[in-house]
Formats: sequence, structure tokens, C-alpha cells
Amino acid sequence: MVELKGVHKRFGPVRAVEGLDLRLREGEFFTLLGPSGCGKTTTLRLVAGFEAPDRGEVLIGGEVVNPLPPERRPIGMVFQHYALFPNMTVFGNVAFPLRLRRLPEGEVRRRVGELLEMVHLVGLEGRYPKELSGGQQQRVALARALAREPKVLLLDEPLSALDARIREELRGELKRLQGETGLTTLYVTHDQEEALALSDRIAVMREGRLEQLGTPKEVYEEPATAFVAGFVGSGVLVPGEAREGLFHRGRAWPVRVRGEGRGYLLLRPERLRLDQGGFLEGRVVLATYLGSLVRLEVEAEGLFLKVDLPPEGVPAPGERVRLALPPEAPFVPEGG
Amino acid sequence: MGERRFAWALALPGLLVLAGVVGFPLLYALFLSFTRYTFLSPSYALSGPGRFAEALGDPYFLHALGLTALYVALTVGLTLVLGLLLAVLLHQNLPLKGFHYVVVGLPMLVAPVGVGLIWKMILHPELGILAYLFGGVDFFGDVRYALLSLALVDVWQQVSFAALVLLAGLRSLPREPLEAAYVDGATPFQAFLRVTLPLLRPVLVVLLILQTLTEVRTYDLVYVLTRGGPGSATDLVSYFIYRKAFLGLDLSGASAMGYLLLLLTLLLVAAYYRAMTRL
Repeated sequence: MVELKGVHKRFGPVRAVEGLDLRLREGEFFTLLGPSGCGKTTTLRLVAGFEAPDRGEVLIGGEVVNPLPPERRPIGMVFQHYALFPNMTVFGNVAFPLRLRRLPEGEVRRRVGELLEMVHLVGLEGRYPKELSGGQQQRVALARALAREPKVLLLDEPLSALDARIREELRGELKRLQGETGLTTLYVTHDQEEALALSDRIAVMREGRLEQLGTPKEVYEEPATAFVAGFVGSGVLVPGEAREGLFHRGRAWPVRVRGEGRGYLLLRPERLRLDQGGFLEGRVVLATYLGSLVRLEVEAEGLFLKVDLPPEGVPAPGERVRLALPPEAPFVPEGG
Repeated sequence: MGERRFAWALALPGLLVLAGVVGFPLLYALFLSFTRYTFLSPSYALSGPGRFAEALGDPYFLHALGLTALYVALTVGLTLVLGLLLAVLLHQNLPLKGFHYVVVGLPMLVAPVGVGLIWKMILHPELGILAYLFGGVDFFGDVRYALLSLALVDVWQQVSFAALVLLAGLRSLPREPLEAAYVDGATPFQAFLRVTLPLLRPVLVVLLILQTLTEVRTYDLVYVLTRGGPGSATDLVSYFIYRKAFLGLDLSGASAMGYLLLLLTLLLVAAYYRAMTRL
């Protein structure tokens, strides 16, 4: 549905996107994930038509859209700060793209009614954006983006300006709406939790390049590079060597890994546990209460490992503990 | 010394100067408008509101008011439209942007009297290049063209200020609503009309108020270019009041007219403000 072929984009000396190749499948929820400045928003803007690639092609529905301005591309877009028109009511905002298409007023009313029902905003038609909460404004923006019946929905960090509770609620709404409409969706975020929860596939970007492309499970459990391992989820990268299927760090660790040679073992906090007969001995440095769990920081063999535990009966800082390692863990080769 | 007293102490010199140069003339003029003081008969005896009634019955004053209303509508309208066009042009990524800024901003730096003298030469019926190109038209001497010519000279100067204010307004607008309009299918012109202009409304209203106040007070250009003529074709109210006071020597009558003008201007500004808060 959406395809980028060898796309390059520079802003002066800054290489925003470098030789990017991506292909979104029809009806897929596809996320571009990465830190600030990694080129994810530029990529979205290239698809929207707000930026033109220096080299390469952008295709939507099999058609090269490089020369087309945004208004002639079959897209809908939701912006980080809602981008509602302050001089128009909720109804006016959602009706805007329909009125531009000169649809009969009766048809406009019917469509706006359907869309507002879809985003649970019936009854607020007459309100102005300033009279709505952030979550409600973003729902209006979503309804407006869908009004044009686009082939592709572009979402530029749509939840980042909202508080945590509303963010979680809208995340569910987004997933439901995408499922209902079956729209191919390109989502940009720096929030790994959002990406993991929403996406069919994730493209992790770094410095304008694609670092890894895969399902949320693949990206989380089999990170291709140390950057992805560090950026997605929390965990500690332990330098060492993979040999004969086991991880070695001075001696063989009882952790099965895939690959050979020097690299890093990724130890996720939820995969480590306390055990009297555990392989590593260490000392609790810090215990952080996080509500549903407590995160321990344990110093062992010169490493600072993180361990997630249920809040009850947690050892205090200074106590000595033994850690049991997972039988199998991701291994990231050096230079990856 | 308390913080409040200290603040007053700091503000006091400025307030005293303001009271002297603004407050006193205003109060003095108000007082005069309730007398029959003239330079020929300088009496401060109070005579009631008669001078206001006389002003409202004076056909020359009413003519000057009407002419000024037409002049303000013409100059403010043209200034805003041309200023907006220029601002939109400057907002594009044009080459030699700095050069364009300087050219557009230059008229604002020239004193109105200087502007008057420059245009007096350009439009001079015998020596002026424009008069020559238009076949010897006497722009300021012909009753058909005088007011329009005066207005165009005024607009030439005012448009640079309007363009720069509107350009600052355009620069400060958020990018996202405009981009959203494009994604929704709007052409650049539709997006400008339905998104940019409404977002720019506060700047436009402030500019409308400032320009109206400037144009109502137009005096210097009239003095340099036409002296109110030919006949009374460019006898704008500020110049009329000046003539009433310093050529007619009727200071109390001029004060009453000045206050009526002040009242009308305040009503106009209040109407603009109301319109802005309602929209």
C-alpha cells in the first residue's frame, strides 16, 4: 500500500533519511519507532508530501506520488498537537474535508454524525476546540482525518501531548478504530510501549537509517543491534562471547544463545529472578517501587543488573542475593 | 520603603511628564470647549455645551467628517489588503529575502513630511514623472483625483508597517493547522482563506485599530500636498480643526470639534474590539 524505495532526505548538512526502503502491507498498523532526530517524522512527512525526497520514490497504492502535493494524496493525518481549526466547531472541523469535496449538505451531516459516533463525541458538535479536553480534541482530529476516506492514515505522535490515563484510553481506541476500518496506518512514536502495544510491525530507526524491521515480538525478543536492544524495553547488555551455543564471560554462563563470536547478552529485568542456587552472586544497590512491581538494581561481577519482582518480601539495599539467569536470552553480535 | 511605594516612586517621574504633556492639554481643551475663547476674544467664561451643538450644525465640519470617513475607509482598506499581499509574498521562500525586507520597510522610515515632498515632485503636473506618463494630469489640483492621490501616497507609506506586522503574524502561526487543511484536500488558496486568515484575525484587528487611528489623524500629508484643496476636496477633519484653531483663531470651537472626533474614534475602536471578541 505504501512503499519507500531508496529514499534520501537532507536538511542542509543534516542527513534526516538515508536510503530508506520500506513496504507497508494493506491494512497493516505499521510504526516508525526511534529517538528524537532519528528521521521518523521526516519519513512520515515524505509520505504526506510536506517534504520532497532528494532521491528515491514514495509510492501509495502502487502509484509514485513524489510530484503530488499533500491535497492530492489519498491520506489522512493526525498531528501531535491536534491541529484543529480554532475558528470552527467540532462539526465544522470534521465537515471541513467533506465540504471541500462539495458534498451535499445532507451527506455532510450524515457522514459527520457517523464519524463522531465512531469516536464517541456525539453531542459535542457545537463546541469549539478550546472547549474540549486534549483527548477529545485528538478524537476530533481523528474523525477529521477519517472523513476523507483515505487509503492511508498517518499519525504523528498523536498521543504524546496527552496525560498518561487518556493516552492509554486513546491507545485502545486507536487500535479498535484501525481494526474496524482496516486502514493501512503509519504511526510515528518515540514511545516503545505504544509501538509494542499497537503495531503489527515496527521499524526502528536511528540516524535516518532503518535499524530493524519486525513484529513487536521480534523487535523485543530478538533485537538485531545493540541500539535496538537498548532502545526497546529495558535491560542490560552484558559484553562477552557466544561459543558452542552458550554465552561466555570469563567462564561459560548457563544461558543458551544463538550466534557465534563477540557480542552482548541482553538480560531483561523480567527474565531474571532471585534464587538461593542462582548462578550470579551480587549485592542490592537500589530498590525502586513502581506500583505493581519493585525494580532492584543488583551489582554482580562488575555489572549493574535490573530485576523486576513482586512488591512483597523484597530484599533491602545492601543485602546479598543470588540471581538465576534465564535458560535462553537474546544475543547481539558486536558491531550489530 | 515598601515594594508598592517603591514602584510608585519609580513610575512617578514618567507619570508627571505624561500628566504634563498629555493630561494637561486634554483637560485644557475640554475646558476650552465649554467656553467661547478665541484668540481675538480670549475669555475663559464658561458658556455651556453650545460649542458642541454649533460643531454638529456646522456643514463644513460635517463635510470634513464625511470626507475623513471616506478617506479612512479607502486608506485602511487598501493598506490592509496590500499589506497582506506583501506579507504573504515575503512569507514565501524568495531569493534575496533580506533585500526585499529592506525595500518594503523603507517607506516606514521616512517622515510623512518627507514622503509628501517626494510625491509632490513625482506627481507635479509639470515636472513629475508620473504626471508626464499620465498625460499631464494634475493629481492634487484636480478635484476628481485629489483625495484619491492623497490616499494613495498615504497607503504607499503605511503599507510597509502593515506588511511587517502581518508578516510577523504569519511567522508566528502554528504550522500544523495549515498542513492539516492541505491533507484534508484544501488548495493553498482555500487553506489561506479558511485557515490562515481566521488564525490571523487578532493581528488584523489590532492593525485595523492602529491604522484607523493613524488615518483619522492625517494632517501632515494634507499640509504638505494640498492644504485641504482644491476647494475642500481634501479637507480632512484633523486639518479642518487645525485651520479652525490657528487660521480661524477659534480655539474653543476647535476644541469642541476635537473632542467630538475623539468620541467618534473611541466609538469606532470599541466597535472593532467588540467585533473581535464576538468572532
